[in-house]
Amino acid sequence: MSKKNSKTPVYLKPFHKTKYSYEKLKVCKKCHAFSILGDKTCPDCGKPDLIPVEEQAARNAKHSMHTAVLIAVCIGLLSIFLSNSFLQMALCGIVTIVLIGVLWIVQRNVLDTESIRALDKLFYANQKNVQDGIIEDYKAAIDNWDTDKQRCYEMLREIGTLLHNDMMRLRQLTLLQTFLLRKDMDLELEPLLVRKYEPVLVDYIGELAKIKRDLIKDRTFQYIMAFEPEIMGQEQGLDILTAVAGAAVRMKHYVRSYAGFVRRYAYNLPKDRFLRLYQMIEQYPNEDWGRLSEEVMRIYTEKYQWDPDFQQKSQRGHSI
Amino acid sequence: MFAYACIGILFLFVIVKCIQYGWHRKKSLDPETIDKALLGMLNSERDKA
Repeated sequence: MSKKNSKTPVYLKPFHKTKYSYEKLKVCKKCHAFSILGDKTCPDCGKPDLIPVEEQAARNAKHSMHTAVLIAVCIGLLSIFLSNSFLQMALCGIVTIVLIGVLWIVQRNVLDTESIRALDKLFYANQKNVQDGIIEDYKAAIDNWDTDKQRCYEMLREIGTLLHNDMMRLRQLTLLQTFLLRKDMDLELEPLLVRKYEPVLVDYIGELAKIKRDLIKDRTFQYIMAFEPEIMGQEQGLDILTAVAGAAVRMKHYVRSYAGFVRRYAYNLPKDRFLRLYQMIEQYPNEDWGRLSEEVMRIYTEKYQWDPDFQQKSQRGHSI
Repeated sequence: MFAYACIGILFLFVIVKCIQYGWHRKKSLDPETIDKALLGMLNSERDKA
């Protein structure tokens, strides 16, 4: 309880997920610095010229197209200038207008494709700028580590959409463990899974297993099972493993996939979770539960045989 | 005569640009590829352990 009281209640800003990671990236029209943080003001030059990279790519594509049209106009005007007669001049003028019209119509139809190409060229030509920009964003986030943990986490969360490494994840997890987590918070789990055993991640999973079970999915179960011995050795390890087993009980798919894991902690499950598990086993007796069904029956017989909540089901018989 | 030569050059220029745009459209990149390339660029030198 004292650990909970040392945590800070926070109200995190909603996290807007985009289809593609680059949609969050912005570039300054003036100094060409890149940033994933910042609204309109460039963190490098301070000017209000920060725009999404897609918008800059579209501008580049349009600029290229306008240059082509300008070249065509210049050639057309040259032909008119070099004409010997009025008829020749008129003919050159008409042909110029028709050809530029054709070019303009084709350009309008391919604008989307050219914008995507321009975006690819933008990243390719500015690799170092993009990397430097993200590093500067990271430094700006870490500057808030001691003074404003909430702001620091929100900034790291944004940067985490582009930087996928365990150091970023551990920074976020460390900050999350200083917050009083609530059910209504916009939390995530799978993007924060690291490769190695990390107690801070396990603690976070343990908390989510109580307040937001739906975030615990296959990759999380696999992580927990991979480091089960280490987790058992940490503080409140058994409680965390039991809570995760309780989270698995919410779906038949997870119980079936991780039957052995659920079986190991079924005895410690709270009554409501065990009841759900019991009802699931009863409802689908022909599923391949392995030794889980025997263990569930054993626990039922030992602890809940006379419990009225279980009686309705038990009247149908004990056989599985 | 020079006027017609300029018109010929303009005609060729427009044709080449149209072919170029058509070729780009045929070999168009998709946003997923660009996204993966960007993430690969930013994370390739990072700690993967």
